[in-house]
Amino acid sequence: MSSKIQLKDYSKSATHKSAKLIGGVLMAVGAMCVVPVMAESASRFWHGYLIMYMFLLSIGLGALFFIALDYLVGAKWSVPIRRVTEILAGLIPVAAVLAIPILLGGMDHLYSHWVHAADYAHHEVKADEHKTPKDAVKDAHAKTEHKKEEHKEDSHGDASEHHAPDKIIMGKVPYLNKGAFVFRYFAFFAIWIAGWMYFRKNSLAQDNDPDQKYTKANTTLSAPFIFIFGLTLSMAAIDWIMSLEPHWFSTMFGLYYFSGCLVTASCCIAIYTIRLKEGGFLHPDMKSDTYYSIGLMMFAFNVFWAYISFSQFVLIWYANLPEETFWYIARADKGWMIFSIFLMIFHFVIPFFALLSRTIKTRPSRLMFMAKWLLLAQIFDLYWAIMPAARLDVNFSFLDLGFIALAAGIVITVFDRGAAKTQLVPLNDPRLQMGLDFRSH
Amino acid sequence: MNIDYSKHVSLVEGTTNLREVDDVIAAPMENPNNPRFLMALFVSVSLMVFCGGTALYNLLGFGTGTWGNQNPVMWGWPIVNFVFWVGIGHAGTLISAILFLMRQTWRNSIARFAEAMTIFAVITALVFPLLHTGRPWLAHYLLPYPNERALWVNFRSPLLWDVFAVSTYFTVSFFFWYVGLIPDFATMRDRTTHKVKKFVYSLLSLGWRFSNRHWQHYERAYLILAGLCTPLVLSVHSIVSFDFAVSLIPGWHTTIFPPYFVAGAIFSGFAMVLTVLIIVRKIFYMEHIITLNHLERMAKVLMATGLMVGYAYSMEFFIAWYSGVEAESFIFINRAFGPYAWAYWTMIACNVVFPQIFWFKKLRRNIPVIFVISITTNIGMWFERFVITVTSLHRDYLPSSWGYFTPTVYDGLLYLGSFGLFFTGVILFARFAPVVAMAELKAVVDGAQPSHHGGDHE
Repeated sequence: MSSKIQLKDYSKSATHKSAKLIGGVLMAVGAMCVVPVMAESASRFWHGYLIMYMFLLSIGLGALFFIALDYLVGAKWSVPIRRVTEILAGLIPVAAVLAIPILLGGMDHLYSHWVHAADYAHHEVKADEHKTPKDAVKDAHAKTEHKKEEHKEDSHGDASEHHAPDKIIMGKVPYLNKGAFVFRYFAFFAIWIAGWMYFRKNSLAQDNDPDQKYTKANTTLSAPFIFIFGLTLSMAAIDWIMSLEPHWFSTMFGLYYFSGCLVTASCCIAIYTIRLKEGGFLHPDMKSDTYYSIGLMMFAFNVFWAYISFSQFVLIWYANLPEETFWYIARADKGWMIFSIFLMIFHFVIPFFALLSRTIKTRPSRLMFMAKWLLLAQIFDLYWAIMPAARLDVNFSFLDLGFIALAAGIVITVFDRGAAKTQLVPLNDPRLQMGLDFRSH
Repeated sequence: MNIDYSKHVSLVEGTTNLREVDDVIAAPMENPNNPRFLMALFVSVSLMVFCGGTALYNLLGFGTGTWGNQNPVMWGWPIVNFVFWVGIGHAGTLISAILFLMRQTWRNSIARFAEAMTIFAVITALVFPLLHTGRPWLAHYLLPYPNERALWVNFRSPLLWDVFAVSTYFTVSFFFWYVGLIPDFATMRDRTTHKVKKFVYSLLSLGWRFSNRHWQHYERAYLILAGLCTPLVLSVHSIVSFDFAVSLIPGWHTTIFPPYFVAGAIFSGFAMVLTVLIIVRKIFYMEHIITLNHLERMAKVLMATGLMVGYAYSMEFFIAWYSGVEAESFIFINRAFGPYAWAYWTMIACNVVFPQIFWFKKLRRNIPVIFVISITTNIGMWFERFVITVTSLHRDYLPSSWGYFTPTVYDGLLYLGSFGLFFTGVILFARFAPVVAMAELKAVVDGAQPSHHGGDHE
């Protein structure tokens, strides 16, 4: 066991005070920017909101995956920074709360193609006027919204004048209906939050009781948890993003969102490890080799993201089937092409070469810069995946930045609150000393 | 069994004597040929010569019509076997390059052998597309070089990308393997008293003198090659999957194919490495070098990749329904319940169901169990390629051209011959080169690790 060290108290530090302030200000500014978007166009607002929600969820899920993975493979280098990861996974319950407005109000705007399809299934035999008044109002609402937003019908013909769903969407009703969607929301978040709480409970309990049984318990859970995690995450990605354009399908989509989760989580881990370490809150024996490992993860998972995104694109492009290509055409038309090209350069080409060198991974300031870069790139990736579903002309405004500010404010606040009430180094973890001894060469 | 998480697990059991490491590893090369070795060589050479030779004679004499490939299944066993062998060639580079970059030192005991298997598996794999071209003596047409026939290759075809991907993979893997072998060849040069051997090992060791400067260059080169190999592990099988996935054939065209094929390749590769290593550690008395812990870790990787493959199977099935494309749903239901249901359920049982027994620690530390599962995995992964290739083709869009694929005896003989070729290579390698990297292994023997704080490692 390591010799007793005195850790700096985060909750009494200036860092805590400033983070509290910055987080609050960013959230307030973000909220103020976002309200006009709501007034301008509800569809735009909800798509922006979904981007923010999926982004925050991706950090939480990626962090949760790293916790489980590190236990599963018996990783040592990451033990000194495990608390950072654990606190970041605390974004999952926050995301669960943030999803509620979508479930209550946003679904009509986001998933208007299928959200009422189940009603049509019941009404097909009956006449239209047999609808309950409430449904009729909802439908009318969805229709007008849609007419306003939609400039043209799409080649695949889903956006019909009437919002009557076509045969293909009717075929998906057993999966894509409001009840099942809400049920999956509850089930998935229950699994993720339960997993996070279990890992965290054992990890924190070890601070007072240096028994290895806690490590063993977490290791035992990690294997089946990762399996369930993979399935739930994929279905969540299909539910929340892929079903925005319900005609479209890609077996790769779950992995696509997953790769994004790994990028955002490793970037956030980088940012907060650097911030806490440079502030003197982490173990004094921790060396820059730990930064190197985090940088390595950022690099590797970013390449993984590029591999997954590119494979998905190239297979659809090459086969050239209209039932698949329309998704990419929507991201090439109406000014989106420049966004698509920009995404490739911004998310892959520049970070690839930037993160290749060893020095950038070990120098805190440079690694921090690249982590922020990649986080922005990942928001941009979600923007690129979600926003064109609204079928709007490209109209990127500064108001859209409101959601970024809001997301940043939430991450800062959640992390700050988590850090203030947690011991930031798992001092009794049996692998801590080996983790501190880790050298990257 | 209780594990102490605060301690490193010894990678080599029962010895800390560096000389003994050399002795054990060099033994198969220095001792007179033992009968078991000759027996194994005899079997594989006969497989290669008699089975492979017969098939080859027939093929070159009468053409590819002697295979079972027939309308509508124009891609039969040759493609299945090609993908099967290329897949097996993946574990080697994963173990040697990716696990090296991840600083998984346990790989040091098994990397060399796995790499050698990669080399021979890729060579074996290349036989099939080469023969499938029909006129293998014109195979150089596949390479884009200026020629007077104004013949140019089709850059838009993934089959051509395969030529580049596989040959790049082979070249880099070969150099990676060879660079790793240099210090060990030097050790063998210094140990041997035989004149011819001394000459050959001297030549192969490129004047290695174990100097500090040599080691520095070596480590740099090894790291760079590992970095180059890593993307190649993914690219080769991704491009093999493109052969199928860029097409419009239901069951082939699906976006998850690249990572799914890579996971499957690692799955099958680890299975083959396990099968062979379990035998090798026994006949060469290396049980303390390739320990039960190594086998257990590989069993875990086997189970993990098996689950990834299972994920891909279920995702394909789900999206086939979700897409609402009738042909797509049809092909998947037909796979599970059509004329090839037997192949499909063999695949599911071997790849997804059987590896689940590794959830139990007792079973994944039981060598006969690991051995059996490694073999069922090989069978399952062969069937996976069979299911993908044949079931998608035997039901065309036109019911009038539906058919049922039956392989001929020459398909079978060529396949058996490929095993002969592979094992002949592997066995000869084990005879003439160190099957475990001596230099790398010595670095992870207990007591050899550098200590960062004055040697107070517990």
